Amino acid sequence: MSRSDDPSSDMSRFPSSTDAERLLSGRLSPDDLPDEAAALARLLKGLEPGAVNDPFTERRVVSEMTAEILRNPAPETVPSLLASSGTRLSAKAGALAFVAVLATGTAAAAANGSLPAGIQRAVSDALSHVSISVPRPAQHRLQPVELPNGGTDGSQNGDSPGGTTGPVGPRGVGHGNDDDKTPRGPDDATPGSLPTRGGNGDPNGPPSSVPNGPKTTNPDGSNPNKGSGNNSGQHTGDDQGQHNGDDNGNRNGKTHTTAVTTTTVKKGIEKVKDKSKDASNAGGNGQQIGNAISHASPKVSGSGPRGRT
Amino acid sequence: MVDFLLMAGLVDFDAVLAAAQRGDDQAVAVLYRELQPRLSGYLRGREPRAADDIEGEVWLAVAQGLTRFTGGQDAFRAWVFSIAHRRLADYRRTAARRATVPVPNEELEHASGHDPEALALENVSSAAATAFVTATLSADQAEVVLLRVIGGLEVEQVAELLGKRPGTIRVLQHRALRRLQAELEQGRVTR
Repeated sequence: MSRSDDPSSDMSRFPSSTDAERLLSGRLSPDDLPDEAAALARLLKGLEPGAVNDPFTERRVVSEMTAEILRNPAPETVPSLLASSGTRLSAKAGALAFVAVLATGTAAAAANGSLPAGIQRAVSDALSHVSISVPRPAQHRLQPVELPNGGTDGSQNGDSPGGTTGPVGPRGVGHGNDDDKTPRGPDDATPGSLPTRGGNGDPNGPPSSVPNGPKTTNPDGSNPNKGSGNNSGQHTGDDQGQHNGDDNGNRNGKTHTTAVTTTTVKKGIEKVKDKSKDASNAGGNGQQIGNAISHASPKVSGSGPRGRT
Repeated sequence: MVDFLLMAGLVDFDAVLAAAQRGDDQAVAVLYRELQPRLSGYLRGREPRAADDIEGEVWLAVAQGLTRFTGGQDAFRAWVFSIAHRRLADYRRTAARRATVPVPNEELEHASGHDPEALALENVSSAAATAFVTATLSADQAEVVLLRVIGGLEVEQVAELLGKRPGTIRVLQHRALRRLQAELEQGRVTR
């Protein structure tokens, strides 16, 4: 007889979901079911555990268990509420401490401009809305440098189109030497870019907040190579404080885009300070060496006075 | 004596558990007797070749963790079976790395000789019933049926132990019983 023509096909829907639950939980006895369904109930009944294991095995296992329990005494009883709340408090305190450290570190990194460029830009933009100034990614490498002689980077003074935050570079290492003793402007330095005062022992120039440095008389203001901002950013050429720089000013007006790190600039500053002392001590010509830090903004005026020879 | 009283609900399980946690061997024996037949049946149904070894490991683990256990009788049973389930899984992972595993003769007889006709009789031995169930059902279905019937666990406990949802367990157990019923009917019809 095949399954398809089985007269007991009515039982094909047995067990239902409810029957299954009752059978598995032992609430349905084989006696309560017709023969066709009783077989399954008997099978499940047969699965149920029988008698206990043999006594020998029981004694062995129980003695091993007891010894193990005695080796692992019960822990100190702590009120569960306190224990759990203590755990929760510890976790919360740890989480708070972690967040605080993370936030502090991030804020410090943002203020320092040390975050990755994208994040730094986003933080800067976001905080700018609440009037908090945070350097943008490019700024922390190209910040204006406070010059040892008080001037800023000179680009403002020179009224040059190069912007006010152009890259800066050390001066005093290039040519343009007048007496081979004092530092000169760098190779690409543009005389007149720094409104420094003379090196006559007056290292303090105008504060950096002064947009236009002190205008001084240009002894030879007819330099044909001078740049566009020479009238406002030219260097003083007085007797006491001459500027260093290119002797012939042929670098003037050229775009210079050298970017240096702040560290490099600081080193340059220190070097200039040292040399400034030397120059002041040498004293002969009182050359101005304060502009040993070059500003590399493009097209700064080049009409600065030459070093006195 | 106490274990029968425990089974009948005449002895407080909490008192027995507390005594066992202090290392009272009588109380430990009560807990052992209450669960050993279920545990043994379950392990023999799932892994007959290694049931004895796994059972010993389970009881040792129970003893090691007994002092930290809190809960009632049902929770205790579910806890013991969760240990058994993990030990079983460990054993199977280890066995899977072995190249060959010898199979006892009686197991071969079980595997090839499950007989629905015999199971339709009045008295079904536990071993034969277990062999029939495991040979007929898928692994998941057999696991659910054995945990429910032998372990005496509720749907929610089985779901938690197997890491499944209760609805999934209900579907598995329903399909398992339908399949068993179909097998039994086929055996009865062809008899």
